[in-house]
Amino acid sequence: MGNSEAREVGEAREAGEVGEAGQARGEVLAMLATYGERRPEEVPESVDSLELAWLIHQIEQRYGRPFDADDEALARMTTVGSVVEVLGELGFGGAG
Amino acid sequence: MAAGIDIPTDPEWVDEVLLAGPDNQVCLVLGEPVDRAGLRRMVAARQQALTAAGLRAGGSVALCLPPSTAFITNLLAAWRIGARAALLDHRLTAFEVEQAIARLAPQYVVRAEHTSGGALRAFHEVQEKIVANPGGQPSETSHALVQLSSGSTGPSKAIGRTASDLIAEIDRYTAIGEGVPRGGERIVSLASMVHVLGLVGGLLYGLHAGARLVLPGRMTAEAILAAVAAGPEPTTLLGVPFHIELLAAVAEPPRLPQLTGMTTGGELVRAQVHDAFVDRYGIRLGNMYGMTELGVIATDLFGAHRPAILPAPGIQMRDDDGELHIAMENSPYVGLVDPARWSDGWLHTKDAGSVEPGTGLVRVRGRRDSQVSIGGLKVDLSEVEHTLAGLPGVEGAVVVYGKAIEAYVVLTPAASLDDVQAGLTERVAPYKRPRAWHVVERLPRTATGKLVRDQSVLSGAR
Repeated sequence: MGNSEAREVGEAREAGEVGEAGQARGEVLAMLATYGERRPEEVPESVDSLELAWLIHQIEQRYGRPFDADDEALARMTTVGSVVEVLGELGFGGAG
Repeated sequence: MAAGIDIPTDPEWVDEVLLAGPDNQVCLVLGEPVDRAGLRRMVAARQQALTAAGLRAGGSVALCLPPSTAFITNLLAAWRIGARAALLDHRLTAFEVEQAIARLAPQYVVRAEHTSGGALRAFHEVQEKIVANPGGQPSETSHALVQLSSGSTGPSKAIGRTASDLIAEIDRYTAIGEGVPRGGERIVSLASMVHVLGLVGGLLYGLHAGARLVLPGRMTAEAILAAVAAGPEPTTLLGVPFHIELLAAVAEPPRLPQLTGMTTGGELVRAQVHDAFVDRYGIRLGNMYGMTELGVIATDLFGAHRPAILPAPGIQMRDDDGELHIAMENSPYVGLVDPARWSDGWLHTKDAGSVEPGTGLVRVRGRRDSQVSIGGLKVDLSEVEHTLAGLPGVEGAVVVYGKAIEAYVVLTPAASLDDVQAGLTERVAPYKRPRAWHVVERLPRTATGKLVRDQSVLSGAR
């Protein structure tokens, strides 16, 4: 059930705003780039556990509220694409 | 040529050195607090289970468990039996575990049957199972602990430490004194307890000294600071440089008067990160230099000698042709005599460095081989490169480290990069895998045909 909900949210976003998704991705890349003094284009697509810990803190500082994702959501956050997806589902990022 | 004679230590050392203390003294907090009476009970239960499975004094067992109460109790139980325990990092792939078991031939393997806990969990709830290994052999040495270190070619190195070696390291922490947590204090450990810093510096020293070992719920900045805030006792953070970066990035940390200092093992952080951390938290930030072979070697727990460090009491160091050597009576390697790693009472660290004659201060200037540190975990790039180059579809490979591990590969005409990546995923643990992949037509070579590893040349080949 969780999966179908996730798909719906993903589809809704795709249908709605391609630009918004691109912006959310840009934000994630910018937050990841602050770890290890990288340029956003140097950030690989895969997200390791150190980067995930870093990213969660950056998200909380950026949006000023706790990022209380459950284990299942965190376990999915292994690529920049899936991070954008989870952030969208939890109402972080972009204009929404 | 045997490197020396090991004298077995009575298994009672576990009770005397680690488990002794008031029944109601809380010694571990992995979620729920565990007092000494509770820990002794759990260790006795695991001892019974391991004995029932057939483990005996002089026997051998491998623990393939994530950080957990189960890891701690099985380890202490194996030692209490007088058996040798080999530690296998739970992040290793099935392929790597299989290779390690073939190499170490433990009689039993303790694995997780069920484990709760997901991404970023600092510890897991584990239901373990004991599996007999039909080809297993009893221990041929008196080592209590065996850990594997990746080797650049051929089989990985097995590093053995006796109970006396471990007790000597615990004593070394005690002798360092100032900056090391004392009895009644807390250690919030962010360092993996499967590796020497978290294992001896956190778990074993903590049990010995009566300093409570606390693991945060998650490895996030907020959870780490919450773990510190959870108790009034003077608290030391133990971790690796990444954790300094993570905590230094917290713009407005809560006031934590109980936090007295942080100690990390591994490479130094950049000066601006060091300064940002000290400025945010107003506490000492200390650095330790250690190796799996010997544990803690040299320290600068107050940042007074930065970037230099001072050998710990009882440690003698020298530089030999630009490489740091440490006096060590016996070779720590099991079943391997490699004069490039240990000879004539000196451990060759493979770290470039120097020892200042007057003061004895030591400068560590990086590896002389292909080992890099990823979040405190050691990765041998040549091991990854050899594995990659041996995969079907790969004609040649070079693995280098810049801001992350990167692979340059030449593929056979029919091969796909996806298949090659999947092949590597089966064989090496996630933290060892390249983060960036570059498929090139040919790998640059020197005039004498050696592969070039210089990244500016390699990126030109893309």
